[in-house]
Amino acid sequence: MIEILNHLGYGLQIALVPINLLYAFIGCLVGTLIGVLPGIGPAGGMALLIPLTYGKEPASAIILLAGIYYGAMYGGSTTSILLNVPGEAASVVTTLDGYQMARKGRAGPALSIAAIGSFIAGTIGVALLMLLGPPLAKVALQFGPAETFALMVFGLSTVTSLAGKSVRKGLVATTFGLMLATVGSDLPTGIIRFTFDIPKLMEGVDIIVVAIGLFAVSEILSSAEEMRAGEFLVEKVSRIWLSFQDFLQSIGAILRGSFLGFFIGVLPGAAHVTASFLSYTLEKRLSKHPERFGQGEIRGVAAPESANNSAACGALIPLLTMGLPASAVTAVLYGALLMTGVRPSPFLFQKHPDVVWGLIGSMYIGNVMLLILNLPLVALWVKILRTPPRWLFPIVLAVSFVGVYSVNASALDLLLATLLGVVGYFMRRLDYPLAPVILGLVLGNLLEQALRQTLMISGGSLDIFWRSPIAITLFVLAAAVVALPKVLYRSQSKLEVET
Amino acid sequence: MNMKRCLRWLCLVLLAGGLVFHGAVQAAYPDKPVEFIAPANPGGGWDLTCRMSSQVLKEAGLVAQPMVVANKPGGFGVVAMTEMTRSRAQDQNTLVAFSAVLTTQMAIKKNPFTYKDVTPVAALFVDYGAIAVKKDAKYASFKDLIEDWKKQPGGISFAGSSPPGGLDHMRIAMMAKELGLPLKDLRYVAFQGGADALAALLGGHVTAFVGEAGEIAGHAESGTIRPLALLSDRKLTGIFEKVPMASEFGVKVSSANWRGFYGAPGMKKEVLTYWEDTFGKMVKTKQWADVLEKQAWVDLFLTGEKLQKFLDDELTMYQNLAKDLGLVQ
Repeated sequence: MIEILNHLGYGLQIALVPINLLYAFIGCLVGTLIGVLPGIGPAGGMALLIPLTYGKEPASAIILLAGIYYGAMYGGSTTSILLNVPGEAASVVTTLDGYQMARKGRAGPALSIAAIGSFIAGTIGVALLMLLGPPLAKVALQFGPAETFALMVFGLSTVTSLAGKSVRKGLVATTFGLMLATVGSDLPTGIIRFTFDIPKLMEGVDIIVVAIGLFAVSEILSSAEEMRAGEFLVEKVSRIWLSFQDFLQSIGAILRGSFLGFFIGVLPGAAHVTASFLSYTLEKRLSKHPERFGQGEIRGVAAPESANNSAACGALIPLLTMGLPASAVTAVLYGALLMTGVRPSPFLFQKHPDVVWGLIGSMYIGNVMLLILNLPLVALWVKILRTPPRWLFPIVLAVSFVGVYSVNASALDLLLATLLGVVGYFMRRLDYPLAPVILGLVLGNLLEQALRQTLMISGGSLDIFWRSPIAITLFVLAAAVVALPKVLYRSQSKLEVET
Repeated sequence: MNMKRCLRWLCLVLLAGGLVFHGAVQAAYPDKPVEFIAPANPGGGWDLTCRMSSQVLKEAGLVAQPMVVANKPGGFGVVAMTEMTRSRAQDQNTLVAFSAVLTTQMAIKKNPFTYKDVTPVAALFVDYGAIAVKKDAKYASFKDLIEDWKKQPGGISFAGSSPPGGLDHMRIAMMAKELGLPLKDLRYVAFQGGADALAALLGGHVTAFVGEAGEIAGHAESGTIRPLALLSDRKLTGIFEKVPMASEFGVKVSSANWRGFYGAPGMKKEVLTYWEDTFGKMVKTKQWADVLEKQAWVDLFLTGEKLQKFLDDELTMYQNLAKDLGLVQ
């Protein structure tokens, strides 16, 4: 413990060098912007800023780039809450309750709890990274293709909590997401599927394009309709700041989200997205009033926003302790390290303590910076809602389309977003939930890939799953998530009948 | 003339010379910023090729214009190639990274384009193939592994990072062919990138790793994995100094992934010459030598006809192999 504190002191020393403080600040600022603006995600934003790190100390380079990463997790919630436009894939769940809170005049508390939750989760995440990094990396390695498949099944089981009234409609939406995931070149065989000879589609359909299309475009379509009918009502902002009661209500969710998110983050797969969906499900299951979720429940904002921040810390573990980038974002960090002359390897802690501990130190400081940066912004953001809808919606639409275009600089993506917007509009009209589409799309590829890799390893035999205790546990958990609410519901209604 | 006057004249002459020289540079190619396109996500081999090259070119002062790296992932380079052959066919200021992935994709007919549709500029270096196992694996040497493999051709699983028919799969196939093993029994598991394949090896989910020396350099150095053999025609230095070649065990397979750049089909002759010269100067710099050393890359500089012949030979080899593997009719 003393040793860790010594290391941390050393890391803080590096992080507090003025130039590194400046880099951390630039990283956090750019990250917040990338998070706030829909479209280009943390990986793309980091790649754009890599040239800034040429010729710099490796520690400075990684402090800057990592700042963008966790900064984006802070900013991502802003447009989700205010406008129902997810800034990042990891903020899709936040739209469910965040936007409802904004419609009810509680945009301020929603944004504040997202920032505070992110701060608490970010700080817990770094602490866990520092204390548990190396042993957890060993656990992460236990997750081969079979275990990853089971994890994805578990992730998909959360759809039952997103489905709203009808589980059947939730399943239809999930299947639509899974179908979208099959577009593109299939990794295990390299065969091109459902691309209609359009080269742009080979890489698949981008998640953020679908998210913006389904959520933002369809939101504007249906709001426009409500406006015409005179039904579009946004309650006046009652108070900007969070009440102490709100905070007390959310603190449990924040802490659970922080720990859950961190551990999911260490594991392979779409960590932030899975973490945010899972923590939302957990809160809904634990709540005495699950019916409030989706109607503007503050815990539905606090939990996923905390989880995606601590997942960002967890995701750094495979890179820092094993030299293995497990996600698109950490792959950029990996490349940036190589370019500054640091070869990521299992010896990173020993060989380049300045990089690892400097980064850890800067993350503590960066989280404070982000909190100070984001809380005053809440007042500013809330003002956006005072814009009359007839001005606001065209601006939102423009910002959304710029965001979509920024992902791949592709006009086809604009067309796709528009089409999906229309699909989303009809889904809303027919009461189909939208979030399961994103879940299906994000997990679909990983799910299929992991299953096929598993079967390639086992030579086609399914026994491999029963030989893995981790996989069995996850399958049981998935079954529990799906079955439990029904069982509970039945026993509850029985009780009611009896009394 | 006194000293002061002399100095004044000197200044004037230098200034005039500078202006003329400046004008000459302005007129010459490149007159606009140069774009390096990595047709894959950041962090991979193509991305590194672009970023390392542009960094060395800048540091050594070989290109006066700003250089930017853009990522255009999709279909193992097909998306970028489509753009270069269609909308950017006359673009003089763009270079795109390419590698043996292109020739293997052509061999299995996954890529509608060939290197004949664009202007190959230069190959810069090679990264040799390598076979590795976990540090606590029961195979102490490459000999142990191939003996076990001969006993049970379907019992050894290899993790690699290319799709079936891609370079890593071809490497296993070439080895199996040398050993006379039935190709249909091979157990090759494709992962999304070398890091994922390595993670599967370290977690004990597969028997062996097939990939490139550069991908495993960090882990070989720290001893978490044991490199058993290099698929090369020469010994490497540095980390891989003590690692034998597969040919030393009678498996005569040498498989290098070369990397370089191509330009638009309409690249002008003088532009091509400019880049051939510039890359020729770059590979001789100290900075480039350092990059090669750090990445466990091996120098291979080819341009012009030599590059053409190299590409033709390689394509023929992979086409024959793809037929043997039953990947194409």
